Amino acid sequence: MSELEDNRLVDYLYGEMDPSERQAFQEDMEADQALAKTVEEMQSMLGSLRALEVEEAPSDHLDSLILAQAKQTIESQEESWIQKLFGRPGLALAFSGAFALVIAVIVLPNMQTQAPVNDFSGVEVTQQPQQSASKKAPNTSPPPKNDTIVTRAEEEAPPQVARKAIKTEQVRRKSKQETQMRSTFSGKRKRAKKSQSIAAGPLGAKMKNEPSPKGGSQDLEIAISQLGARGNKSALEIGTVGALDGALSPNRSKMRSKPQGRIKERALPGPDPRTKRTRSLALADVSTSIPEDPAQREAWARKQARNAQKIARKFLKSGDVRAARKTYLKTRTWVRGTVAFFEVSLWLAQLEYSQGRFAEARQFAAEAGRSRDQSIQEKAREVVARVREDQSQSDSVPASTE
Amino acid sequence: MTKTSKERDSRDQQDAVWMTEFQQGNSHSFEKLLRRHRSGVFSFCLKMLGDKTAAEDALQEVFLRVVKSAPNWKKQAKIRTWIYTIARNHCIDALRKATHRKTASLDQTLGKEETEGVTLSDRIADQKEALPDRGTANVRLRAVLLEAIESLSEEQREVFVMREYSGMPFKEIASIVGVSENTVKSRMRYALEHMRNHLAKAGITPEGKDRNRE
Repeated sequence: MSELEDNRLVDYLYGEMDPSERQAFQEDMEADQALAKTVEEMQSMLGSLRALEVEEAPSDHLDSLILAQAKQTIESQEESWIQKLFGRPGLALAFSGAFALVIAVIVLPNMQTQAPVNDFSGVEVTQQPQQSASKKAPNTSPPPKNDTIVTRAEEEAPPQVARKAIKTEQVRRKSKQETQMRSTFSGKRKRAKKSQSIAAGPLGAKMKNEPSPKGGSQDLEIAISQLGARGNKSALEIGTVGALDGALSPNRSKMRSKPQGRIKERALPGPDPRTKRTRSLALADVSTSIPEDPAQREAWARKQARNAQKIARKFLKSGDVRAARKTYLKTRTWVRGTVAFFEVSLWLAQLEYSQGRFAEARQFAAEAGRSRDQSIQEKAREVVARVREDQSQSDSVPASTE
Repeated sequence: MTKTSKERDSRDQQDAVWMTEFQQGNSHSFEKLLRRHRSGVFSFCLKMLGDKTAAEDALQEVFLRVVKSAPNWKKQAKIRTWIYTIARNHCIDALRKATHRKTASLDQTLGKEETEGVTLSDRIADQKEALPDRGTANVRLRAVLLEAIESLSEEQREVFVMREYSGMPFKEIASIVGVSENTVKSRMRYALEHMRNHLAKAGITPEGKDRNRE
């Protein structure tokens, strides 16, 4: 019997034939007696089987048992993901490892960078300077000799950590002592404190980021401190790198790799006239950068004169005539021997005239009158004429009043 | 026993609703599912395994697997097909484990707890003799039929049981067993032929009459 006939027989026995198929199969049975006998025997057997069938049911207690187990299974499935996670050793191990790695990546670099900056959260210095020791609670234990630093890290942390903390503290204290010594030497402790505050502030941070010719932000910090101690007020107030460079660098021309900006120009007023030493430093420094070639020197002098004029005008706007005068005087010294010298002298004459200092005005106007430039000569003569006129008026007024 | 396709469809839809409710945490829906399918699954397991205790264990295990796998059930799958697939897999595993022990051999002696030296053939013969005349033929016929089912191959038996005792259409059986519908029908045809021959050997006519007694 082929597979097709098998299927037809089964379909016929189980009533899964269409009426047309059923009719066709019955016709085949009429033609094939063996097929008809097989179908009849199988129908009889299935009938007997179904008639004898006794439905067997599971035990009654089985339902409640299954339901109880199902409830327990549902409860176990609803346990939190953490419990599931830590219920599996592999997952728990992987999770712990990942967590440790994240901690190591985040925390360790911070520890390495913060420690030198003075992170002494775990450090307790038993012998502090007097001013800080007085503020703290009295230490009952006697201070250790030789300035020994006892830290909590020594008691709790490994020896390496303790040694690192001690070393950092020693470096900090040494730096502080150096700063204090410099301030004491110049006798300008207030300015030193101010410079330290600038260095600690955002401006100081910016300056630290600037490349230093001496290689290192520590040099700059010391330089700020020195300037402050020496009374370089403008440098401190303006806080420019140019001022520091101009005051401290022995080779200023090398540092001018970049074009001079506005901040650089503002540094030119530079030294305070009350501190001759700083002024001499600045002048000496600038003198080294004067070009030897006459043409270049003329151009350089002209540029210095223009810068000085801009700065002086700003000082005059702010009412600081003295600073403006000193700016011109300083620049005049630098540009001596050039055409710009006469120009600066003329400006000085005009400034002195405006301030009623006729003698000085006449003196500077006389110097400017020696210029070969006709316009400068005329302006110098004009200043002299005005001075004379004003002097004559001032001389006549008391006479009339008298 | 056999149900129309409309009845089956409505039951399948109701099953799907209950399973969805159970997925949402309604345990009463699971209880309804259990009560609907427990008899069919138990009967299938009993015919497949041939032992009531084993069938009860199987029933328990099948519904526990249903509970555990319920979150993964999708609406496209018929509940009955799914449950019977689980039951079939479990029965196959149980039968494979049982083949190692092979305790059901007719020539092998039974366990120590039972009568020593008595074989299964003897017990069947004893049953034949012990039964009273009234209904004796039916009991013997039933025993021979069960014996014939047990003697079917695993593939033929599962198809025969699912169709004859659980009333499943051949298409659904094919999806459970994982073969084509024609293969299922062919297996069914061979199963019927085997049983007819078994009954003939036992001296029972297709109508269920015992030729030996006549």
